[in-house]
Amino acid sequence: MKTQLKINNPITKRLALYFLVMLATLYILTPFLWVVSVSFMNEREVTQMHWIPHQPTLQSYETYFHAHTKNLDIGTATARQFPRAIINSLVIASSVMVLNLFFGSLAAYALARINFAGKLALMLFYLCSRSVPGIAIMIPMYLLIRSYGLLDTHLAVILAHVTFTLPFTIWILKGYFQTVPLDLERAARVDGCSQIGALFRVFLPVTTPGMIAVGIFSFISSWGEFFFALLFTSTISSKPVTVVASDFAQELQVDFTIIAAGGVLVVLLPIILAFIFQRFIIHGISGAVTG
Amino acid sequence: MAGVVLKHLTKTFGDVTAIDDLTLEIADREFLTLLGPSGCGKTTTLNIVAGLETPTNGQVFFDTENVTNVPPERRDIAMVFQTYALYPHMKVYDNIAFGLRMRHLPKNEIEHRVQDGAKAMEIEHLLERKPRQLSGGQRQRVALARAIVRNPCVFLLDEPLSNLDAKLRVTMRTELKRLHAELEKTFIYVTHDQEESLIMSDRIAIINEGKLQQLGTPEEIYNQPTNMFIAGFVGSPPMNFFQGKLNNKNETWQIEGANFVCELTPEIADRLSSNTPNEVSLGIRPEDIEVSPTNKPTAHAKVVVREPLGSDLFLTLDLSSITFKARTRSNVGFNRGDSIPIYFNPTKLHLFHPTTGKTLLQST
Repeated sequence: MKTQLKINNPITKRLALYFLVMLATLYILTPFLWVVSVSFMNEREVTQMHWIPHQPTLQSYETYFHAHTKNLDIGTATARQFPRAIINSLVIASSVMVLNLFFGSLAAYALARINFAGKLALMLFYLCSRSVPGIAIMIPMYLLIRSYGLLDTHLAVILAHVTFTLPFTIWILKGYFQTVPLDLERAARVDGCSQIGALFRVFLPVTTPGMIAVGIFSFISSWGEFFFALLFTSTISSKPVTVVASDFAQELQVDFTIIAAGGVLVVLLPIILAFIFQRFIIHGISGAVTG
Repeated sequence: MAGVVLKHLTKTFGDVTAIDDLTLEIADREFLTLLGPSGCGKTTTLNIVAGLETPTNGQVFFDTENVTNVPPERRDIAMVFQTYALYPHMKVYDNIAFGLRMRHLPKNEIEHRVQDGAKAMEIEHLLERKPRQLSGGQRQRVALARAIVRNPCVFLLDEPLSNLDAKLRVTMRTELKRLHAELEKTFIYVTHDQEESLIMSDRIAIINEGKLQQLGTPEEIYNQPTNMFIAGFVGSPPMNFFQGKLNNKNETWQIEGANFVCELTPEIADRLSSNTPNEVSLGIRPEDIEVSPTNKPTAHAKVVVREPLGSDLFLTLDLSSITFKARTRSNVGFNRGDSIPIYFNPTKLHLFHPTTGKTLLQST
């Protein structure tokens, strides 16, 4: 008796979908999982090409936090800079997040709620600015930053990151804000709030999921950005972790386990944040899309 | 004291005129309903009274004070919205207390008022819940409590019952009437439900396409509509209309339509305006059409549809391809296709101009 596979069966369709999603997930995650695995290996095990470390060790991670006491001469200079680089990244990404939330929410509120001349042109301007590649404006931006004496400062990188994250923040928040019923602010006005009061006491608290979503997005975008960070920083006083991690390429000899540990440290915080706030990210983005 | 006066209000949105030269006086402690179809401008009018919209032209007065340019937070009003507009991030207690906190009332005064308001709306057991944990009816009560505790001069209610199921709507209508009687404040109520307006209002202002059509008591609106729009809008089922010729035979005025003739009573004939045309639109409500009358029938019509509704029976009838409705008792045994005698009660006839739609009868 032949057993026919019913293509139109919902269960079959679902299984096929799950299979494809798993394949895509494996394709994306496999390199990263390999890096995590290597970060817990010693140097000898790396060349043996097995997934699970037989003798797992935290030695590579220790290199970053006790580098000045270790007598290592492979990748030491770069590893020594990592703690400071993480702090730089935290300062930059946090500032970018705060600036995005503050200016982005005010701009999005105006675009969502207020009719003014040039509103459509402004929206299109924000949208089109996203399509300008960074490399096309890197020279004028460099000259501008230099003219203000901001090279090799956190502020230079913050300004650059805000430039390319803010339009996205405004666009997402505008869509999200439009899903909030107008009656809520009206009720707040009738209850005694001024327009600004209604914004801060009622509207923004209600839109917390969307705000968290764009906040996390802007943080992660800034944390992982490399190009402008490389362009505007030259010393460890301002270099973020993405630039410092790339300095391994300048070392004459490198220990792959140290590089792997560095890679894990770079992405650890964004992954944790995305995991913790995934519900808000999905809610915030879907609200913006359906709104 | 808080009568509300609207003087020559006009509101335009670009090319669209939402309110067109509306003048209206609402007495202190009156329950006035703004009634009209969707998009007629009644909610815009309410928003202007609340200060949430500014009029393009015209003025708003609370008693003698011109509040046209006064922002909503400084007007002595409370508003209940169609969507209730409860603050989702606050508990019920905080929702009710919010307006009082904005006005910097002392804490014990706030506590006292919130508890009183919750008791009045029977929601004391819900004070620690969030709005998402409440049913539609409970949210409605919280919205009302939030308005009551403010103790304003004017209550504004924007279709507060429209999101409730039919049974709850009937209960809440009674509740609102009781509230109005107890609080003795001015209520301005917006609805598209004509039944609701007839039951609840002291007076009704009917609005269509931004213009005031008629202002009167429910009885005046129902029994003496000033135009065909009002006659057809108020009443369920709506008024039936027939085209006919007005003529005078043997000193008796009568209307001659397709396959029917009905005489006007002397009382109605006396009310005819001097410039009444020969062609008229005759209006008669379903309940004023007698089925199987004892009097000489006005016409014979064919039963098209039977709609039993408890103690009533609504018949859709056909008279020379004109379809209309009659209301009768449910124990009448007519079936679809039957030709039945009908009688137009001559004391309940309405006459309208066939072109302008305005009533041809001067008011009593």
